[in-house]
Amino acid sequence: MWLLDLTGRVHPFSLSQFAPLGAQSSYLLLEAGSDPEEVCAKSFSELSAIAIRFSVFTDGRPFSLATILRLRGWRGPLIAVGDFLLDQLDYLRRVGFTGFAPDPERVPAEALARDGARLLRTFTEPYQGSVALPQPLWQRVARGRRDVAPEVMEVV
Amino acid sequence: MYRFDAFDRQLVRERVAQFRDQLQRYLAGALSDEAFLPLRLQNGLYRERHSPMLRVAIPYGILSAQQLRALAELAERWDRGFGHFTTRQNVQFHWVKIEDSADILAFLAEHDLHAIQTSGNCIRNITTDALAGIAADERVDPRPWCEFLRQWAAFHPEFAFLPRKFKIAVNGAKEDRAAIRAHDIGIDLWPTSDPLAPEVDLYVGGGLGRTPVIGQRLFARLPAAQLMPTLEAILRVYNRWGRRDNKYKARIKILVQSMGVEAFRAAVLAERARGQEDEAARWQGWRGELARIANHFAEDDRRAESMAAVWLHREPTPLSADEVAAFARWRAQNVLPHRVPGFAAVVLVTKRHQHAPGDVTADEMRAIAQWSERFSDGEIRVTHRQNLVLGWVPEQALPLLWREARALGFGRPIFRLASDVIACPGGDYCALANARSIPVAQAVIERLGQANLRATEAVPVAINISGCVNACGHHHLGDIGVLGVDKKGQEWFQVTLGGQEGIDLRFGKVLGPALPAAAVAPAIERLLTTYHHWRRRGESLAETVARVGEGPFRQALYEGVREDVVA
Repeated sequence: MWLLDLTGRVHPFSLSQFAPLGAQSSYLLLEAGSDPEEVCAKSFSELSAIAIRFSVFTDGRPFSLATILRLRGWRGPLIAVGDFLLDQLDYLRRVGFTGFAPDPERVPAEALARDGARLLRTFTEPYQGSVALPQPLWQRVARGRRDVAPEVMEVV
Repeated sequence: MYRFDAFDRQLVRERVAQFRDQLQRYLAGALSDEAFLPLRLQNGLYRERHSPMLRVAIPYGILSAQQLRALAELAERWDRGFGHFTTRQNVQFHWVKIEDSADILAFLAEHDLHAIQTSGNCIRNITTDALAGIAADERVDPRPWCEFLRQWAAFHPEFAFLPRKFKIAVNGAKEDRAAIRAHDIGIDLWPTSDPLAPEVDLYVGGGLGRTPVIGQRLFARLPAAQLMPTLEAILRVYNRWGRRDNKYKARIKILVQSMGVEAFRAAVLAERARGQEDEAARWQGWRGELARIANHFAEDDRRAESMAAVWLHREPTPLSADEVAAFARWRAQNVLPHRVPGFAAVVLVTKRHQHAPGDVTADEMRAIAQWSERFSDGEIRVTHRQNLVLGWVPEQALPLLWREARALGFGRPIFRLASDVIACPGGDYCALANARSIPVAQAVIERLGQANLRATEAVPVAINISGCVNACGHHHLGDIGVLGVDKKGQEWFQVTLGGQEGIDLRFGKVLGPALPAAAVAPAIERLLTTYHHWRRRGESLAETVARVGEGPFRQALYEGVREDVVA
């Protein structure tokens, strides 16, 4: 498997270290329906990394699970694994994921290397705050100016 | 209306670039049908019976004249010369090509239009009262809140893959014209001493469709400052706990029903408390942002009002003797009171001879755009009854506007009367439909139209027609509802009676077996005759039915219909 990081680089990746809640591992593997309270009951300081597995890309529960873990104070690596689309990378990044290891059957390694970095950042200045950028647009910029066109990021 | 700044424009352009890239990968075979499906849906592209359909967003139903002209151009360049205004205040184009879709979205973006989240399992276009900001019975102007919510919902990273679609409606008037309790979330605004900080009655779990449910009040008089953290908490609870195993049980209404509203409320409060400090920081300054948005509407309102000066000194256009009576009838029926004396809101009814409800041609769109500039504030509002409203017409301009609207067929004095039918696109276009709703709507329009209208029958009756249980024609809410059903490959129509809109909304009850298409319009006429026979002054159809019982209505519905042709 391959993992895309936030800088857009691709690294070899293995899930073998990761284990579900209750196992003796500092690498935690959660499912879409995992209860964040059970994770939070365990001390974050005992954990090295958390992965959340998508069973199918249309199941959006990991977006909320990630948000909750970040709101509760998890600052370490948060890795999306499983069946998600490259077209979800921008939203995944914004809810707090820092690594992305899609199912190779859905996303071949070449596609991850070719398109991953580009699709990590789709919207330059999103409206709403989220984990990666907590301030909503009105807190970040002076709104209402129609004359100044911000740099438009070209998606080619 | 709200005018885009450089940031709004950039977001819409980046959305077009994103979609163009997705479309190219899809057409090149690098993106499967299954993966492309939610991506195209969240850009308003459906697959219909004959071709893809594009649903363009009309945020809370408000368009500028320029934007309506752009829609006319779209209709001519990429479609068959017309558009279809929907019960959700959007507009649909039935004949676009998937290969053209990115170019169409780029064209729309040039006019600050888009199709963002008009479909898919995400937060959909926010809807409101078509008379927002002008209604005589308004408590709080919902438009700034609608725009604030639009910006919050657009590309929200956490809530783009919900269990199912999610619809939010906002009301700020005494009469709820937005059917807020028929939405996943209904927001009812109540004034406080601070005009930008109303209190909110928040309803949850309403909806039509296969399992119609009336929204329950989750919070009463919630302070404005708590609205956004509360909405995020509701969406998060729904995103985590809403059912994903069965599409028919995936709406939030089912979750609220299965948990019970008390437990659901407790879950929302626990969720809201979870990240309180971060959340408080995140919403800091909301009032200033709301004020910025509200200022756009306030400026427009002042400008519209100042137009009165031009018209006040003009004599109204003289009408011929023939025209006087027809104008008076239209004036009484299609012209609504306005909060500012001297102005009126005018309803242009789209229900015309041989037209589907909501269908408007490109030439007609351009004419309406021009009327909005000559006789009103240069904006057009789309109503959930698939009509168009000009919101700031000076009294003196009414005769001239009426004469021109009448010449194009938009001056029929039937607003809220029986032939002001609403209907979904139905089986003529929609791949989900069980039956064709448009021919039935046309038959009702013909039969109950102006010619057959007796003065005593000029009482409001909502006839709502859906081609399947998904209820895009809002049949549950009609005084008379018509639902297309499929039985052994044949089209049948079930008739319901006694539905009602408003904050005390009610769903109609099925009267009995379904009728064949040709029997529907005559049956509806008999129902109306029965209603007029029994009605007491001021009574709605639902009230008359409640008083005299269903018996006479059931009898009227099936009168002369042979038993072997009901199903």
